Amino acid sequence: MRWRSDSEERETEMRNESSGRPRRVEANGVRHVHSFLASHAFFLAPSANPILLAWRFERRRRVRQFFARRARAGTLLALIGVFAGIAAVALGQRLRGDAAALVALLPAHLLSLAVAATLVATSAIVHGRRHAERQWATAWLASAPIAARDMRAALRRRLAARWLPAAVVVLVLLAAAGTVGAVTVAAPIGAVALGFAGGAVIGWYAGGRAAHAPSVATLPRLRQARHEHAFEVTLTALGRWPFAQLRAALAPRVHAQIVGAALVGMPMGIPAHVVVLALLLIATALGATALLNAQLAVIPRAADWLRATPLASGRFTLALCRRALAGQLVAGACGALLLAALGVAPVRALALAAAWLAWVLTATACALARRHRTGPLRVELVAYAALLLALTATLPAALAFLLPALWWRDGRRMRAA
Amino acid sequence: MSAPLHVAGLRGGHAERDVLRGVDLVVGRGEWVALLGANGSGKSTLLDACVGRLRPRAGTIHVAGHALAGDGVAAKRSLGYAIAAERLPPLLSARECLAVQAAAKQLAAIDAEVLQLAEALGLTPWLDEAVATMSYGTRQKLGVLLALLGEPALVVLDETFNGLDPASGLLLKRHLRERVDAGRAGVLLATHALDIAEHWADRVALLHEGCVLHCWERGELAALRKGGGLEVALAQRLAAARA
Repeated sequence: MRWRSDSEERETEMRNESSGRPRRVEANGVRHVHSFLASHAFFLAPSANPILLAWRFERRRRVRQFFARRARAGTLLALIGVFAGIAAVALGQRLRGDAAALVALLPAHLLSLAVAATLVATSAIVHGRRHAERQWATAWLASAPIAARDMRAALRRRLAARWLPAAVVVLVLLAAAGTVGAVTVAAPIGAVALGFAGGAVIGWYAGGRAAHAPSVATLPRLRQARHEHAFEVTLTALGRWPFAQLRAALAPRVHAQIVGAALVGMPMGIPAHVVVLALLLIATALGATALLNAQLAVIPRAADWLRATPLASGRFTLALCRRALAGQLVAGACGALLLAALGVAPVRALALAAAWLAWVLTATACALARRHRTGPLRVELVAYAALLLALTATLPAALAFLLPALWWRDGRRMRAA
Repeated sequence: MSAPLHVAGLRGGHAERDVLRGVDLVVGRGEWVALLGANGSGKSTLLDACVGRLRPRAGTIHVAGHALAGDGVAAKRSLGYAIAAERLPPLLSARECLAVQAAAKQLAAIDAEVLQLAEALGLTPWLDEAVATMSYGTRQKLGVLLALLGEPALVVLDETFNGLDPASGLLLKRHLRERVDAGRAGVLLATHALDIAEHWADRVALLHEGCVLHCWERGELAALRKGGGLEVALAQRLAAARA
């Protein structure tokens, strides 16, 4: 074998660059392959982006692990099938009835539709991008020499893979609603599609700054004065933890954007007091959701910390969840009052608040069972199944779509925590 | 008086894989046992099982005479586990962590000795800061303080001296040694730091492929210090086991 001269090396390098092959870098006479992974294109096919490759491996492993337990996969698939069936039947019935009238209203509120779609897409992309960048900042590949361009490409693909199918499903459902309701929905579909596209673009450019913000700076100030010199032996700090988590996770700028856009999207001619009530309702819903997220994030960490202590499950649950559940109760009551003030029948408003509280209780109980005493997944499935059946029997069919989505999201959040 | 830790025929691991394959181990009161082993040999898994964080598939664990499986609350009352730095609650302050841990152990007050140790370790200025703002070493110190609350009969430490500055490390080792020599506790420490195992422990157990391969008693350790040292002895044992 003959070593090539420097000039031959440079020629090879130039040829490689012009042909798009991996670039070789000369440093102190030692030849380094710029990217070992990139030089093994056959291994990386179809993509040479290391982030995408790592994510693909992780995803494949998760899917394999999931299906390795056939009982779990079978139960879940059966549940999804059952609920999809219930949802399809219920939705069909609703569309033939009241919903046809609702669909007929859509062409008159194109701006509101577009703004709502923009809001949803912006929020999804902002949160998705921030979450991915935060994960990336501490990931094992964070110190690898990966170009920012590759990282952005990976993020784009990840967000598209997550949200594009959901957007398509919404548009297809809208089209289906038009068919059943015998209404022309081309304009509403266009408005929603435009809103999704615009929201995605806005979200992409608005959501990419979290990586630069030091996470410590966003930590809430701890209450010091009361405990300056005292060492109380108490579990009350556990109860404050979900709220501290909530304050740390809040993004006031994003929430202000959402409320601002909601204001713009309100149809003309609505009385001012209704606008205020609607905004309060949105704020309540956002707060309650954020509090539930914080609680689900805190439960596994607290359980992990305190598992080696003799703290009984009951005391642990009470100390950790009491305040947060009281907060949810207040949010539920406020939500019901606001809904009633907006003209929803009081019984229906109370039913919706009860449904939310039932959801919060089930998610909390499942998180506790899963993390504190290593409860089996079957218990979780049965709990959610019972709740879903109870709610779909009593509340509008929309819940059949909404609740499985929430279940999936909460489960993912708990596993991530 | 029962030994702080008595493990017999312990089998278990994560998911379907058996990491521990029949571990027998005793930590006596007034004894510091160091647990050595290659990466993946099952040290942390054994510690997780001993403190009730992992349910074993077979075998028994007794902490101060209480079965961890049957009488978990009593067993955990006699147990102090230094939780890993990254598992501490990031949004609580050190003071709040101490308060919660003490309440979880049903203590009336935080031990004065632990507070003195906190002062000596230089943790006092950090007491009202969020854990997330602390350095790795500071969090390690907090983890040890949490473990020492409530005069535990068994102190379980997993790579606790990693990240500590030398002065703090020495202070902590002396403190643990005093507790052990006074017969107040037994210490089980999983570590890769051979100097700690060789100079501070009373007994060194070598874990290999989920089993205790060999135990060096106090006399043997003293002989090793004069000869080739624990490093050579360890390498020879592992080479023989692999052959």
